[in-house]
Amino acid sequence: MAPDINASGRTDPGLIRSENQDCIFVDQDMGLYVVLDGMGGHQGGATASRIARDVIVDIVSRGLQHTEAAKLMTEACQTASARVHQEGARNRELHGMGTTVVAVLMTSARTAIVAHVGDSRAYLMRDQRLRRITNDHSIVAELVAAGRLTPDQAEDHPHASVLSRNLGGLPSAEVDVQAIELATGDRLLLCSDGLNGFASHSAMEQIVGGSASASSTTLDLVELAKRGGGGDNVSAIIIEIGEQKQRKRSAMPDSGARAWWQRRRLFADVCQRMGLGDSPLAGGLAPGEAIDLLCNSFCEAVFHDLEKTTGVHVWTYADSLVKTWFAREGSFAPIQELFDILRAASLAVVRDVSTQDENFGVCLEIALLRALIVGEMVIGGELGASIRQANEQFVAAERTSELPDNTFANIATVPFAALSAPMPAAPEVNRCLRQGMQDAEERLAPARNPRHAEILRAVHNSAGEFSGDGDMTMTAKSLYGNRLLSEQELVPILEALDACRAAHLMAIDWQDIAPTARATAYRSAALAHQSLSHAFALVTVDAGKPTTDMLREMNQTTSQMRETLARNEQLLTQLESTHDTAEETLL
Amino acid sequence: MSQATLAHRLEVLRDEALNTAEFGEDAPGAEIFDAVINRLAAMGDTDPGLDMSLHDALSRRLAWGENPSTVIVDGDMVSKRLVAAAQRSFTDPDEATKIVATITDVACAASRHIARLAVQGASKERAQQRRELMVQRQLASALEQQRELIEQLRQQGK
Repeated sequence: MAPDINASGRTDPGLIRSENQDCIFVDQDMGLYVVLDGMGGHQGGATASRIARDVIVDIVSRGLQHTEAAKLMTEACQTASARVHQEGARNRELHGMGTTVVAVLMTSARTAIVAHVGDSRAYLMRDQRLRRITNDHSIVAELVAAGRLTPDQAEDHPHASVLSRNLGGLPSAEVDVQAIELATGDRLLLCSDGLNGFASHSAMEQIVGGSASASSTTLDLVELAKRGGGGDNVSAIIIEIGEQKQRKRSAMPDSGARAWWQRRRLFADVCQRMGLGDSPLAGGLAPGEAIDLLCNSFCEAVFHDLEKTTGVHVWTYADSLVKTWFAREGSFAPIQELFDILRAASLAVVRDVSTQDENFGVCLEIALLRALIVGEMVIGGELGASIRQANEQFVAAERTSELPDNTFANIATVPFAALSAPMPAAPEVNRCLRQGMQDAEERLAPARNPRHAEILRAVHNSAGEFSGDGDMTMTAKSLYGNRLLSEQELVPILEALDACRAAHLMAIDWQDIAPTARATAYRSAALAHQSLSHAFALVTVDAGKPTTDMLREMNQTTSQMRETLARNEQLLTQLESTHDTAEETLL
Repeated sequence: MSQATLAHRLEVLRDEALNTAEFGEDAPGAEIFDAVINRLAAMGDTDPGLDMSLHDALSRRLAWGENPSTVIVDGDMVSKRLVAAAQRSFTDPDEATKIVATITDVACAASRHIARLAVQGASKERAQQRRELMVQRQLASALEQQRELIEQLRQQGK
């Protein structure tokens, strides 16, 4: 059918969801490639996508010879929708299930019929540019198309994932079908929103535009989505048009980011050989997880920084790692060892690149050393902060001439903290927290109470740290104010705390995300509310202490006055007695 | 899984959440733990704001002379330990969320109650301050009269 077409597909449940409701179909002989993303209920999503796939494959295979391709694809998708709807109506547990679909039927080596319903997408890679060729059938996409939302607003819109069309929602689905003329060297990418929702367009472009095989490219795309959080099932199909030798395969990649990304396995191997898996920084993790945490995260951060010519990703990587490590009683040596290993592995990559193009190798080496310097600057900053803290402690101790029990002289320079050091939250949890905060703000907006914003902001910041125990004392003091409150003045503050807690936790509980991530977000927000509530109670108790102390002093003064009065009374009695005796003597 | 069963399953975490090894059944913060269990067992039809047993337990501790700050810190510690213990023991996210919600309700109700008691206490102390001030003025006046009388008697004695 299409002798110079090469295709490969891959689907993965992602990092958060236990079940894969996505489904793919790849058949080069038939020329049919399908990605489906099921939704609804426990089993509903998976069932819907599989029913739809079977129906589409069945109808296309039977009608291929005697029906016009575009019509055939429309008929296949509509029949699939009817079948999914029918199954959902018949089985109560599957009620409301549905699926998206994006399907390509190659009618010749140069013509593709693309049909889609929902937000699964098709992209065309041509001349090193990745271009989307389908429009999402979502409420937000329609609002953008109508000019009522900007693309930026659409990205963060709370209903970004609400579809306006799907297979199975109604017995008959409206299907978008288009014919695409292809050229040698083109690549088609079909994917579910688990890919484009968790990977940037430019990163996808780098990977799809690379020279790796279709199979390796799908693997890389799935890995990219998982690196971006992996919050949804992810599926990708790559369809290559033309002979492999005709594809652009430069001896040397045309960007440092791509050269780096293509050698990430070499980088990981070197790290592993040098013992990164045994680093105390990954204490408690299996070697594979340790490499994932320390090496692959660095690899991805460098890739994004090289791609965008910034240092922010490596900075974030180092900042998060170093702060967490220092907060867990960590010393400097393992951090130094880690960066030594990362440097050695980076230079191994540079050497490999230099064998193909020496000049390019030098450029890449400079870029990588710059990235490592950014990481070392973060370490230097953290060490400086620790030294400043120790110095302040020393000065304070000298002033009081009393060394506290935990004086810096008795402990490591880097301050020790609780064993359960805060760990960064997963991206999906952070998104849930952010959305929960926005929803709570909207819910509380009609009350126009400035305290609500202050409380929600403090709680959100603390919950975002994932420690659930951020510094709430400042917020509590700010809420309490500067003067001693009466009960009438206290009640509105307590009511504001209660209202924010109820609205915030309810908003998080209503988020439509994976239950585990939602429970994690709920727990961290609940702990933050508890902390604020306790901090406020402590501030209230502390505010009353001066009154208690003053009353105690007044009681003492009164007692002393009573004693003086009693003594004077005795003295008066004596004086009167003496006076009476003297008068009697005179008489 | 009913909430009563949930309470039963949470109750086995008592030793983990409270320092019963050192303090026995009346370990610091036990009132928080008991209120969480009661609230779960009552199928959620009681409001922690009206949970008189929690308020009584807290008021009793304060009446026995315990520092309000200590009571708050104990409650904070127990509620956080309980959240951690529940997180480890309840793998179902919905169950874990239900328990965390209940713990948060109770912990916040306890803090609210102590904050109100503190403000009420401060108001009473301010009233007592005013009374003491009036007493001191009367005493000062009486002392002044005594001093004059003493001086007068001493003069007469000379």
